[in-house]
Amino acid sequence: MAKMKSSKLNHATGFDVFLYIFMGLLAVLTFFPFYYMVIISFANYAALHAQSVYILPTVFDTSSYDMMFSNAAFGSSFMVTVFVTLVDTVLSVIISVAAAYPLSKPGLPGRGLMFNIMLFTMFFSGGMIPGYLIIEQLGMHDSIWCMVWPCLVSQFNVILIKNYFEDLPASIEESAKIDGANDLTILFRIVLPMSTPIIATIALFVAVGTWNSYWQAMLHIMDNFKFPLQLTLRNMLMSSVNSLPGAAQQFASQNKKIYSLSFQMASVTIATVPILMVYPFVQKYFTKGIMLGGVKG
Amino acid sequence: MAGTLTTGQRIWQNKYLYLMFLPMLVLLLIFSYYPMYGVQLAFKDYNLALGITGSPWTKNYGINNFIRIFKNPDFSRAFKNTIEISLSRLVFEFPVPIILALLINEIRSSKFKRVVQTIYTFPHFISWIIVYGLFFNIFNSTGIYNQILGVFGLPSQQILGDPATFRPMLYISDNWKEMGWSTIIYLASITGISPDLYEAARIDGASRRQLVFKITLPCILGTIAILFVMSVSGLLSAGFDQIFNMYNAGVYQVADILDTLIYRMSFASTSLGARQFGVTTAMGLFCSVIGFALLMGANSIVKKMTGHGIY
Repeated sequence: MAKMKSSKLNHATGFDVFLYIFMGLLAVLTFFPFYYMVIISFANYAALHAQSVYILPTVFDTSSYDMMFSNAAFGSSFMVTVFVTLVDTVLSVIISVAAAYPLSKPGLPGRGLMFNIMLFTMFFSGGMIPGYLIIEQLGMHDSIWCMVWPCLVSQFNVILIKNYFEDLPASIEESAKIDGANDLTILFRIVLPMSTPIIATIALFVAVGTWNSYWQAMLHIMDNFKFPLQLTLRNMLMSSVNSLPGAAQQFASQNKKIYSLSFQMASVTIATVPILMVYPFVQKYFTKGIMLGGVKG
Repeated sequence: MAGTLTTGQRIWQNKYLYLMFLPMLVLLLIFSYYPMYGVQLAFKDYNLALGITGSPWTKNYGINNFIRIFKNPDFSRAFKNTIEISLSRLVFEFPVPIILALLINEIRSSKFKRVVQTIYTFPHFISWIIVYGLFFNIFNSTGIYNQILGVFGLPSQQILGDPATFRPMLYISDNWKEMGWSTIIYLASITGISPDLYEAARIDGASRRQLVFKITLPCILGTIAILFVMSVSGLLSAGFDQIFNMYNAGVYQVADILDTLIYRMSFASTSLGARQFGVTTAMGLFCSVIGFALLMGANSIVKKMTGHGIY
C-alpha cells in the first residue's frame, strides 16, 4: 500500500502507458469469447453471411432461445441442476463448517490424526473404477443422488474455513466457555456470525462447482430427463463434431449448420448467465476469503 | 486446569467437537477410503456377477493386468502424451500467473486494477464443456477466426481438430481460463510483503525494475515453491477435464492421456462384457502411486532448496 502511494509521486512513465494498453487488451481478449457467444446466439444464417467478418451484431433473432425453452429435455435438465446445486451447497457448507471447527481447536486430542485422515485423500485416491463401482453398489445407479452424496467433501474448502477460524480472536470464545456455553452454542452464537465472508466464499465455490458438474451423472445416469444441464450441453456440442461431414456435405448443409451453432450458443449462454449474475456480488467475498484463509497455507 | 484431566476426560469434554467431524469422516470412509480397498481389482479379473471381492486373482501371481498394460501400445502413447503435456504446462502455463500478478501489482489506478482483475478471473467459474463451446464457436469453419483468415485470402484451418495445433490450443485455453484465478494467491502473497522493504530500497535509489526483481519476486518465492510442488504432483493427471471435453478421435495421437484412455477403455463400449475394469484399475493405481511419489519427492527437494513445502 505504501508502495503505491509513494510511486504516485512519480510521473507516468513509458512503461505505465505500455502496461495500461497491454492489460486493457488482455482484458478485451479475455472477455471476447463471451461477447461472441452472445452475438452468435442471436444471429442467423442470412446475417452471418451478409458480412465477411461478423463482429458487430446486425440482427436480434431470438428463435434459438424460443427453440431452447420449448425443448422439454433442456427444461428438465435446468431444473435438475438447480435442485442439485441447492442441495449440494447447503449440505456441503454445513458438513465443511462442522468438520473445520474441531480441526481449528489446537488442544483437541486426535486433531492431527483427523486432519491427516482428510489430507491423505487429497493426494491419493482409489481411481476412477473402484469409485464408480461403489456408487453403483450403493444403489445410486440412474438416481440424481449420485450428483449429491459423492460430491459433498472438499478438503480444500475445509482447510480454508479452518484457517479462517484459527485467525478469530480466541479470547471471546474463552470468556463464553467460562460463562458455561458448550461448543455448539459457541459455534452458532459467536463463531459463525463472525464468519460470513468465508461462508459466502465456500458457498460460491460449491454452488459453481455443482452447477458445472457432469462427471458422476455421465457415469451413472441413463435417463435423459435426469441429466444435469452440463451433460445435456455436452451432448449437444459433441453431436455436431462427431457427425462432422465431408467438405461437400458440409457445404450442402451449411444452412442447418450455422443455425445449429446459434442454437448451441443460446444454450451455452443460458448456462453461463446464472454464474455471471452471482459473480460480482460474491467477488468481494471470495478475494477476502482466499486472502484470509489461504495465505497461511 | 486441563492438565489435571486424563485423556479420556478430555475426549469426553470435547464430545461435541468429535460429533461435528463425524459426517465428514463417514463421507471420506465411503467415497475415498472404501475405493482404496477396491483397488485390489487391479490384481483381479473383474467379473460383474462376482463383484470386487469375489472376482478371481489374475494369473502370474496377480500382476497379469500390469503385464497387459505395459504391452499395450495405447498405454505407452498415453503415458508419453501425459508426460509431454504436463511438462509443457510447467513451461507455458506455470509462469503466466506469476508474471500477470507482478504486472497487476504495477498498475497504479486501483479502479482499473479491480476491473481487469474481475475480467481475468471470470473464466475460472465456467465449465470446460462451456469453454469448449466458446472455442469451437470461434475456431470452427464458419467462426470468426476462419472468417478473418478468409478476408486475407488464407485457407481455413481446423485448429481444434488438427494434431499440429491441438496442444497449443490446450495451453492457450487453460491459460485463458485459469490465469486470473491463479493470480489471486500470488497477489495475496505480494500484499503481505512489508512496505518498509520498499521504502528502504527506494531511499537507497533502487529503480522500479529492481524493486520487482530484488524484493517482490524473492518475497513470493515460498508461494511459488508450494504451487510448484502441487503442479509436479499432478504430472500424471495432465488436465483430464479439459482434454476430455476438447479432444476428438482425430487428435488422439497427440492428446490421448492416461485418464482419457482409462475412461474410454472402461466406459466407451456399451457392452458390459467388454469393460476391462481390472486393467483400467491397474492403470489408475499406477497413476496414483507415481503421483504420490512425485508429490513426496518434489516436496522434499523444494523444501531443501527454498525452506518452503506443503507440510
